[in-house]
Formats: sequence, C-alpha cells, structure tokens
Amino acid sequence: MTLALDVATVLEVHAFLAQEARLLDAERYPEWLELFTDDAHYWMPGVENRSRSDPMGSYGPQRMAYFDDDVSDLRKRIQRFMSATAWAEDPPTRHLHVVSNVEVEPGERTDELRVHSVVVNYRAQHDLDAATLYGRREDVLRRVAGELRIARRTVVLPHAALPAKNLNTFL
Amino acid sequence: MNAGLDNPAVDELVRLPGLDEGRIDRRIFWDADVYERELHRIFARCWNFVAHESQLPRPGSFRTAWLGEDQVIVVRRRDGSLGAYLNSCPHRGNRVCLAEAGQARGFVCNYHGWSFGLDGALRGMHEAGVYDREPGFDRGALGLTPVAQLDTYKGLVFATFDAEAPSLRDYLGAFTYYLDVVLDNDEGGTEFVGGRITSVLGCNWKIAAENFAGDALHAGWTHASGAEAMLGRPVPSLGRQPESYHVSVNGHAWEFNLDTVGNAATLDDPVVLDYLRGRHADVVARLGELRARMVGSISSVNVFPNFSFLPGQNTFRTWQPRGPHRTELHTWVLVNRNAPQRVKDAWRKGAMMTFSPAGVFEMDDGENWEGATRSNAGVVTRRQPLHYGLGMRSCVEHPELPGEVHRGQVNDANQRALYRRWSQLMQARSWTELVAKDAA
Amino acid sequence: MSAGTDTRRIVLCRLDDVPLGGVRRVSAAGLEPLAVVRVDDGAGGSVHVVSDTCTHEDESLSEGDLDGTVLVCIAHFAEFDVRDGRPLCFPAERPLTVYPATIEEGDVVIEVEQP
Repeated sequence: MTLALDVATVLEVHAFLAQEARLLDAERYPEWLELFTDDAHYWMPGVENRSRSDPMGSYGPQRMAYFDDDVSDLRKRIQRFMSATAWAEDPPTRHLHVVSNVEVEPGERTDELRVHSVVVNYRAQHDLDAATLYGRREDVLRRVAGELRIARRTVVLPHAALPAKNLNTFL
Repeated sequence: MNAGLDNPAVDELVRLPGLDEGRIDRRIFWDADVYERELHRIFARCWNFVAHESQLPRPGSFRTAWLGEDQVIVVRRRDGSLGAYLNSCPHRGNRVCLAEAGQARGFVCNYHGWSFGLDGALRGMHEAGVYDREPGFDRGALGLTPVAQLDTYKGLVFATFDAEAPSLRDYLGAFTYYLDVVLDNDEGGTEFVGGRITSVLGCNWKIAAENFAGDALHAGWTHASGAEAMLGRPVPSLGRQPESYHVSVNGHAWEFNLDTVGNAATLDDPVVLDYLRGRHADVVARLGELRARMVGSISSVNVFPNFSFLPGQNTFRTWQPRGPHRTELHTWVLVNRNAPQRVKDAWRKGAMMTFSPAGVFEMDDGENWEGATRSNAGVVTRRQPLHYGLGMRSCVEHPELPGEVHRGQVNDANQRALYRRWSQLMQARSWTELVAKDAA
Repeated sequence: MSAGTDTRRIVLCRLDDVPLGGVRRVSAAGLEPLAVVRVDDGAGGSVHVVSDTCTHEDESLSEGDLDGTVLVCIAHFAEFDVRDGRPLCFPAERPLTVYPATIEEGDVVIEVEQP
C-alpha cells in the first residue's frame, strides 16, 4: 500500500505519537509494545563528549547503548516493570512524555514513513525527586494491516551524562 | 583552611570505633568534613583506575579521567608510553582538554593559547615573543602537572598523585590472583568495547563501592524483578551455597561462589554461555579449577577505593565522588580481545540490558542507595549506627585462596575490610606511616 | 629562469638524509632556515622545500608532524600544505615561502635569485 503524504497522514502520525506517549505515561507497557512491528529495532546510543573533528562522532552502532533492543529485549524490560518486586517503581514514577517538532517524510519503502520528533520526559517520584530527560527521535513507521507501527526507532539524547539515577521508561 | 584534615571530631569519627563489633557510624556517608578528608587521603593518595589500554591504542589517543574531583588527561605519548596530567592550565587554571576521549597532537588552552605536547610540556603560548623577552620566564617549569605514578596491570591503567604510594603491584598485592580471573583467562587479554555510559546518583560513593565489594545479600531481594525478567526465576538462595566466599586484600574485595556462569546467565544469551562453556577447559589450564569456576559466577568486586566490576556481566565502572551526597557513575564493558565479534556484541548488549541506567538490575540499585544516603540528613537518624555484623566468625584459612578469606557469600566481611582500609588511610598522615603500620 | 637574472644553485642535503614521510631542517648561507619535506606519496616520495619558521609564532616547523602533505606546527598545531605553502587552519594566516626543489644525483637542490 502506498502512503501519500497528505494532511490526513500527517495528522494520523501526530495522533499515533500522542497515543504512544499516553500509553507510556500510564505504564500501559504491553499495549505500547503492540505499537512495534515484529522486526522492530529500538536504539538509544550512549553519547560521548567528543570534539567536532573526531571521526568517531559522539555515538555509533558498535558502542555502548542504553537500548539496542529487538522486540524480545523490550519484552524483558517490560516484564520487570510489571513485576510486583520492581521496588524502584513503587510508589510509581509519575511520567510525562511530551512529543513535539514532528516532521513526516516519505520512507525508503512505499509502506513506510520517516518521522522526526523531539521527546521530553519529565519524571517525578516521591516528593521532590524529579528529573527531565530529552531526546531527538528518528522513527521508521510502517503501515501494517492498516495501522501504523514502529519498525525502527533511534533516540539520541543530548545528555553525555544522564542527569538521573536510572532511565525507568522508554523515550 | 581545611576543616577535613584539622578536625579532632573527624579524627575520632574515621577511627570507626564500632567496626570490629560490626557497627558503622552513619556520619561517614554524610559529613562534608569527612568527604573533604577523603579527597585528600583516599583519592589523592590511592591508585585510581583511569583507563583500559585498549582505549589508548596509538600515540595521541587520550581520555579524561578522575582521581576524586581532580581531572586528568590520560594519553599515549609519542614514544608509546602512557602519561597522565592534571587537566588544568598552569597559566589561569582553565581546562586544556574538553573532550572525554579522542585523538590529539597535544592540548591547547582556549583561553590564551598556552599549548602542551603529549608529554605535558609547555610548547608555546599566544604572543610567545612577549614571554620570551620576559626575564626569568621558564617554559620548562610550566608544563601540565603529571601524576606521581602511573602503571598498568594486564590492560588496566591506574594512576596516583602520591609519590610515596607503594607500587601498583604492592598496592594490589595478592589481589592480582583474583584479578586474573577476568583479566587473564585468555591468552589474548582483554579490551573495553567502545563508548562509555555516565549517570548521576544522589548517593555517597562508598554505598555503591561497598555494594560491589560484598553485598551478595541484596541480589536476591533488590534484584528479584530483574532476575524474573532475565531468568524467569528468582536469584538462588546464596546463603546455602556450600562453597562461597568473601575475600579481601588491602581493602580490595571479591565476593563469589563457584557456579561458573551464575552472573553470565543473567544476560540470557546462549552466545555468552556457549563461549564460557567452550572455553572452560582452557581456563582451567590457565588458572586452575577453582578460579575457572569464578569466571562468570555470581560475584561482585571492588578495587579500593571506587573501581568495581561484575564477572560474567562484565560491567566495569567507577563511582566518582561529587560531594558527600552525589556520585557520578562511569561504566564500560570488558571483553576478551580474542573473543569472536558476535560474543563481544552479545556481552555489550547483555551488560547494557542488565547493568546500565536502563538495565533491569541496575534500575533498582540507585533508588536504594539514594535512600540510604538521604535518610542521614536527619540529625537523629544520623546518630543511629548501621549493622555490619554478618560473618563475624567466618574467617577461614584456605589452601588456595590468598588474602583475608571468609566462608559464606552472604557476609559483611568484605564491607568491614573495605572500611578498615578506609579508616587506616583516613587516619594516616602519609603512605609511609601506613605501610610501616601494615608491616608491623 | 629568465635571461639576465643571476641564480644561485644551492645543495641543501642528501635526499637520503630525509626519511620518507619526514622533515629535516637545513640552513643555507643568506637564507632563512628551511624545511626539506619528503612526502610519502606511495610512489617513492616527493620532495618539497619551504620556510621552516611557522608564520604564527617563531617555531621551527621541522619539530612538528608531517601528516600527508600537511606540516603541523608543534606549538599551536597550525597547519600548512607543503606543496604551495598555504595555511590551512588557525592560528596560521600567512603562507610559507616555497622553494622549488629538484633532486640531482641524490642531492636536494634549490635555485634562488642572486640579489
């Protein structure tokens, strides 16, 4: 099926990303995982503070990453979130995912779109325990049985040092 | 001038008078004067881990690293040797290296163009002619300040600011017997995979270091959810392991049992387990039967003061002090250099899946350590001693294992050993004084 | 050389005195210090002669690194292309003087105009 970049498609992408953010805020992880294709890759590389002239760049595929996951890896992480003994999640972290700067482009395949966005994750726990994490995302969304699905996601953080004790959500 | 060093109350506190009865005063995790003394007497004095040699492959390769709150540039020099210098210009004090790693011909201060070679020597200044006309100006006396000693042990690079410090070999002592389990189980040696992940914890650095030094107890409780996610079952009861130990040498500590692959199994990757099982006979030939069973077993390690790792998961990390209540965590992943690429990839991914800020095990640690630190803000809370009294009579002689050996992995012996060394260093006015006491 | 101009032929050094991929500082009467550069071009090497003094501060370029055809000053890492003397990055702003060189029976030779 060919996707035309019409207004309806762009609106559909916006709605899709907003729904995804709402599922994460509500910790509805199994439903969130259903938004991915079976062959999805979710990658959040570690970011190093390197010079502009350094050919290594600040991140790369064979290097350490917060996430370098296929769907079965994501499922394991979700299993921990859902566990009654995930002590760090109780009382729950109150997450807010804000998605912005959405741009929709044609994908490499006719049934795919390339979507850029920025995500801000505000996380609050206990009384004043809070952190704000930022990321720029590049997604490949694919039309599967009429629905949009995430086939590939890359999240690049601006943080060379994560300003938090952990990363207990997805971006 | 220095409340940490000239304070009789701190003198008394760091003696840790309750330690031999299994009690520790909580103020050592909170007090700013104790922290200040740690920077002088622990971090400016001990051998600190600064790099793996594989991260510095050729002349000009550099990394920045920390000894306490002092930052150094660790660099491969033109002659192939390693150097480390304070990352601070002797002119106005600015940093001369702003990248955490890379490849450089030298280091130039962005402020006034003072320029330093890979050997740390001052090479030039902006408007050099003006300086050269200045009577008494001596370039030779104005290089970057080098560390007092730098040395390597089987790929790991350590540095100390203290010229009196014993050699690295003496500092590690018999602990090298244990370090070889991870550093020398294959003839090709080891390397770090690319990259570093850094995060910030609101905890005292010692709470993290002592966890890796000896806290097998927390594994089954804190990490119940991580084990369920990765193994589909709880962590086995470690208190019933017939052959498990706490061992320590000079405050360096390793807790372990002999299940060979218990830690490695948490990566839930057959590539890693097949590799370890396939190499077992070779490792036995290199290290003997006992140490071969430690390669990926349920275990954890801290090299005093703040360099930790987990055999099997192969996460390597430093707990960098950033004030008494804040710690910057730097993590890397170790692999055998000769391992096939897919094995290295599996370890890189598995270590990240388990022990990174998003890892299913690590996520539950930070919360506990922050809580164990912050509660001490309460003045009454702070007066309550902490219990470190497990395994008070567990010390044994072992025919093979060197150092102070305690039977039983669920134990506080290594934590006590860590704090005993900490206490000795915090009291001693110099390494010379401490080494004399060690010998007595 | 055009007719009517006197030139002086100067032997700077033996080619073998300059390692392939290396630089050698030479002095010749009446001339500024010179750098003889032997670029490893994968075809036996090409020889270039340029002024040895960095145009930023008075550093000897032969103390620095040769990276392909790029000569790097050891003091502030100013870069020059030895083929045309062109400055390639801050703090170098003025070019090096280039002395066309030839190899004659194993000698590195330049010709300079007589005053």
